[in-house]
Amino acid sequence: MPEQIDQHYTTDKLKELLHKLPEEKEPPYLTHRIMRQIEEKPSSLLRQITRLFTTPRTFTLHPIRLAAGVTALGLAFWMGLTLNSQNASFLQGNDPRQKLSVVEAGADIQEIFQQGRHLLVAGQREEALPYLQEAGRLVPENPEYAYYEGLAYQATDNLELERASYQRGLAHASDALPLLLNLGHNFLESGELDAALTQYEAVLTLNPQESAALYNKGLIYREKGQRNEEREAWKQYLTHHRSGKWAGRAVSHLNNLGDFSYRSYQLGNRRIVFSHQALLGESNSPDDRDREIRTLALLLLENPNLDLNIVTFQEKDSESAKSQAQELKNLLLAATGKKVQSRIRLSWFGEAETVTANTNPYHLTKGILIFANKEMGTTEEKQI
Amino acid sequence: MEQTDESIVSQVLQGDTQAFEILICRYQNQIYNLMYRCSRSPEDAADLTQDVFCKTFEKLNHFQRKRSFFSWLYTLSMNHARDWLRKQKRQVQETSFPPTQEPTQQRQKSPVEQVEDQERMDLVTQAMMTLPLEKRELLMLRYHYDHSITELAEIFELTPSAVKMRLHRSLAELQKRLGGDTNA
Repeated sequence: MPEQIDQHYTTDKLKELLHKLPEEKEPPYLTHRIMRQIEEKPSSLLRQITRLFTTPRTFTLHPIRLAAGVTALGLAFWMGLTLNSQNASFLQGNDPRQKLSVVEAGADIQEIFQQGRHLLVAGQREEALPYLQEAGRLVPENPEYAYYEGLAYQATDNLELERASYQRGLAHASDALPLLLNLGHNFLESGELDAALTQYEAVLTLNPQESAALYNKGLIYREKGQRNEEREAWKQYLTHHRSGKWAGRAVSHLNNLGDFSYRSYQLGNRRIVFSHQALLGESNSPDDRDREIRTLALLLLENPNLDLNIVTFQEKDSESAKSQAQELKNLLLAATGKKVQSRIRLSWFGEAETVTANTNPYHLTKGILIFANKEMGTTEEKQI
Repeated sequence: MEQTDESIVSQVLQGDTQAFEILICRYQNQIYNLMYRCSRSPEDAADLTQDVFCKTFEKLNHFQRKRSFFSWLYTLSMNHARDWLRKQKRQVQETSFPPTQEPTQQRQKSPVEQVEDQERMDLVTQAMMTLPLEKRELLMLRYHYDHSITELAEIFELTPSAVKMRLHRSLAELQKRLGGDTNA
């Protein structure tokens, strides 16, 4: 069926919309940060001269590279004579002479593997591949070789061969977690969502806290439009992982689904994810609440300049909101040894908390808001 | 009268490092937004913007006066963004972190007739995120920032007619992505 162009996206309308696209505001500290870094560095020329006199000049001879150079020269001469007849097979990469051009005959396998690995880590992907291919060819049953060979294929954008490497490794070590995980990534990148999910489940059987597998399960369900499963996947991820940008994204995905059981709060310089349910004491296990309280307590103890504002909401029940706020403060004082009495401020409201996610407003019958002192802007709070 | 970029560059090269701040203020928002479109993370976008300006400062003596400072800066920025994206992709595999290029958000299924202007804008933003870096930036520079075809030709190292052709194709691809989704 021919694809239709929606009437709202005619060329002119699209140009108009592009013109009006909203922009992000850069952080206010950015100019200062850049200038500080520039001023801290000596000028490029000065730095080069300094380096010339201060850096020892070394010359390293790598036996494998030397052999490779000599072999490649000889091979180039010989190839020149026979190129026409052999060209097709060489270009397909299945001619063993191609491997001879970089790997010394009889070289130690571990040395070949290490060389490939170092090149890969140094970002020399094309150069690394023949070494890792050769290591894999010599010892196909070694899962580590298969793993790195797969990485090299991935780095050179060959998803099919990458997959074959991992599968070969798994045939010999079916519970090798890095292989299972990367095979999952491979399926995911290829759009084979169900196969990716199977791999990630296998990873989680071995390590239930594996962050990439947990996170990508959320992405897969999201892509499949399975909202309930997606919701559970984000929660499962957040049960184990609360910091870093992936945790932030998981919370954002979860909140966009209208689920606020986890929320992200900016406290001083740090953005922290808390279990909303646990903070409100609605979790099944009291340990969950202790965990949240410990995190807050630690923040207060680590940063003596941080003052916390805790605001609680309970629709049509101001008293409950008040006791909820007071209870949290008491728990925090108990966890910090009452050292922070004056640094915790409480407010409470007998109304629902309104939050926005993905431009949609949500009303939470019970809510809690935590922020650091600098961000305080309301005059409606009730101080205890 | 506002000082030209090129005269500021001369000033910086003569030792007035502080003058570079004028160039940062002039272009950091545009570069930050480019990096934000690539990384979708405010923290990463800030770091990448910082990297680019520092790199630009270091390479300032290589700046050729025959091209505009902005086009040179944007080219450096695009290269930096490309390197970063490549590195991110590699890190996904090597350090077992989740892929950074997430699938775009599911669009609402409601008929387009009912979609408000703001929602359409959101859809365009999302569709733009799915375009390759070059196509996306070409469209942004031309239709959002109103840069001339000549400037785009400089930045992307193309002839003006090639720029026009690519703009046309990029718009068509964007239209297709939006059209495809609304028919889903």
